[in-house]
Amino acid sequence: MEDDDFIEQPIYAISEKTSSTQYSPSTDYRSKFKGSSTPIVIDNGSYNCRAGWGSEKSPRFVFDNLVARYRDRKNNVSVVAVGPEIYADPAAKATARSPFDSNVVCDMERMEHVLDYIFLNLGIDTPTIGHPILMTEPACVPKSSRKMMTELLFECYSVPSVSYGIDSLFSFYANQDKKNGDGIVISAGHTATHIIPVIGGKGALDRTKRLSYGGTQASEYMLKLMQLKYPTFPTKVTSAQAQQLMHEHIFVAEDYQQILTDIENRQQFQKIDRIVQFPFSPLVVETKTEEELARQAARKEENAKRLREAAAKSRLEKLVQREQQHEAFTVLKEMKGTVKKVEWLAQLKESGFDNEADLDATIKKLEEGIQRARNKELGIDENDDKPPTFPLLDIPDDQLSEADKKEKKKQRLLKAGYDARQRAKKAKEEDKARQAEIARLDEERRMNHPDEWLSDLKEKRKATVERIKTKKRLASELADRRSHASQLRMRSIASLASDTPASKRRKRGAEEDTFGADDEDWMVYREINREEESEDEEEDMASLNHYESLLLQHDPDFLPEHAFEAEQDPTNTLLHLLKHGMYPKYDAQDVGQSHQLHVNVERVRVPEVLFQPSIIGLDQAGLVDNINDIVRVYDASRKQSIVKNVFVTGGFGLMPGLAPRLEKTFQENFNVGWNIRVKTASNPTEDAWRGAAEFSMNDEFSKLSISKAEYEEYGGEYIKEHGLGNVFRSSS
Amino acid sequence: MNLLQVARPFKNKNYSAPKKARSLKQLLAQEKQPDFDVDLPTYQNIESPPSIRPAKKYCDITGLDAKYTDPKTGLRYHNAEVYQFIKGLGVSSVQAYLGSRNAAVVLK
Repeated sequence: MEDDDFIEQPIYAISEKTSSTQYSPSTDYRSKFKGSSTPIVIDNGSYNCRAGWGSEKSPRFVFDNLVARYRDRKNNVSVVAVGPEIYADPAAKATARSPFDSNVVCDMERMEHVLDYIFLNLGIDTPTIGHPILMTEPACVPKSSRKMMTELLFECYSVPSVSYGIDSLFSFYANQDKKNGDGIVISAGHTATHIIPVIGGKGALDRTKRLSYGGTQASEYMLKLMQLKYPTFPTKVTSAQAQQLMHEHIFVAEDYQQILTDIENRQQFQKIDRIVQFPFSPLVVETKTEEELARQAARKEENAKRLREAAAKSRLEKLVQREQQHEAFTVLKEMKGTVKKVEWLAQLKESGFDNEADLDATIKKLEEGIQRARNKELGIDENDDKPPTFPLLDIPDDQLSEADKKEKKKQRLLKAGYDARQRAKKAKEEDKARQAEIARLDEERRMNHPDEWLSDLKEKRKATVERIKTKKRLASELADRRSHASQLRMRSIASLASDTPASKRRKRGAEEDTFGADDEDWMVYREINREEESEDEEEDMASLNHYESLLLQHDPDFLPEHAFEAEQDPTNTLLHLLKHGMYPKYDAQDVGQSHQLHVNVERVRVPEVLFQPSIIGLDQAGLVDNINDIVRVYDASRKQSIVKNVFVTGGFGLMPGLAPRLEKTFQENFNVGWNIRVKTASNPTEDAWRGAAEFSMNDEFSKLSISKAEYEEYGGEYIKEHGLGNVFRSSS
Repeated sequence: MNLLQVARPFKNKNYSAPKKARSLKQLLAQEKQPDFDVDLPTYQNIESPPSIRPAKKYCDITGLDAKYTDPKTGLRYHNAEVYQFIKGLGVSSVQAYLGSRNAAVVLK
């Protein structure tokens, strides 16, 4: 592959969310809203809470719907922080919880804190909240949750009236010019995805479905996938970071199968793969200055010199000692002629010698040692390559003295050793010549019959590769005790160890054990040997390398990446591609690279769950199946008017590609002429609030709210149906 | 801003919200009433029904198409190379991979 095929992929950064927009109490309450009955609109979502005045175009506050309750140890006070405040203090962040369980408000104490925060920041300073409240709630919210909410609003804040509606229907309302049309709302939220058909501008709650897959589940799934893909990632990937990965990198595949095949194609892969860099501190490499290096070298040299000098000194001392000894012994020897024999022998004994021969031998040894030491001092190499001579061997024994006979014996041994060495040398040379001859013949064959030669070579390579693979397979099979190979081996061992070989029983006549008569019999020991035959393996690898180098040289079709080792190289595998991408080449030593995530299959896999919940093992029908099922009961014209107006809203609906995918699928599923359109909300996260604000400004609004008197009469769960909210039927 | 230390004049001092938060499960259990109208949509019955289509199988390791299933671990895999990888996995990793599609063995 050429280098210019590689695209320089951008590297995306990941960051921890450390702050968000801070709010402080508004100061315009007295001048603008005090005394008026402007409704307060709260889009109470499980991810974000949006609140503001119904008369305004956009919410005053948008904040994470989280409450932190903790004890500040430094100042010894209890603290309650809401929304953006929790990012100010790590302790707050750690204890932050949502009032929601799934998409339903369950924790009223935390809800109270959230409402406090909203009213406080709206700048309200009257003893009660004198404004009607319009709040959103999920489709088919459990009545007890609503009851607690109503109770809280009336009892704690003494609001004049309360009304509820469904967030996604408000969003639909805000985005439609015709307020009484048909359509179907897909609300991809934080904890779930709702599908609500709309008939004549009113939500048909009895045909509504809820899919338990939303933003949280998606980021959890993303986190799980990343943890599985990078089990040894150096830093902990937090759920907030996984959420960021989910927000920034996922997209809905228009054709999921196509994307999956594309990923395997290295050209397409780079367009899909995203590199995400996690923060890391680069490795500090200590660089030594020139001066330091020089000093180090000098110190080393000095040490070596000192050692050399010490060695020379000790050598010299030894030499001097030897020379002194030599002198002393020579004097002793010379004394032989001048003193009496008995006296001399006594002296000899005193010096530690048995007899004269012993003395001579010692003197000779000393002489040799001195000579060697002197040679060394002078740098003379005494090794000569002259073949040794063995003069005594040719003389018959009877002409020799006793000592010479001994010497002759020694010489014979030396000669035998020498001859053996020579023979080995010669054999080696002959072998070399033979190899050269084989190579020459091979070369000749290559020149004369190139095709034949090439196919032969390929055949040989194939056989070797096969052999190596078989060995590997066998080794792995032997690792499993229950495999066929292991059992065969055990059987062989058993029959070898048994005293009465099985064959004896069968053939009565053959009493004699013939094991070993055939050389092949010994192969059984090779077979049962579990130890890796490293020698064989090395030999195989060597011949394989040889074949491959020849192929590389002479076969234009055989490229470096076809070589056995290249094919075995882990960097060429699919798993490596998915985990570490292609370019730049992964280097495990690079700290930056080891802090990178490659997001590729996950980018489409995470959102695909909406269409195929079975991917995460969720036993629910997918989005499209659900919609087909929902519209099934309507007649054709109604069906058409619903499907013509598919509306996507909610934060999770922000992911790119959702609308095109839905459009494509619906066009496949419904009549061609229906002109199916999938529209995404102009602002999927805030339009619910806008729709609610618009609704709160209706003349009808006050009639659809529940007053304090009605609350007291009908109970907290009571609501008035208005088409954009839940249905209510008393349970009597 | 510590909510406990700011004046909140709009509140009824005599009221306190129920201290104990109940889980959604507890709330739903409380909802159940036998004489409920069958057609009335409730939190439970708007949940998506199970799929009637056969689920497509995807590789548990790579996420690509899975043509094969390893009978030993139950993991689905894309090709021989992924199978080699599966063979090297320990029990806990196998369970983690199975867990990503809610198919892990859960001991109770």
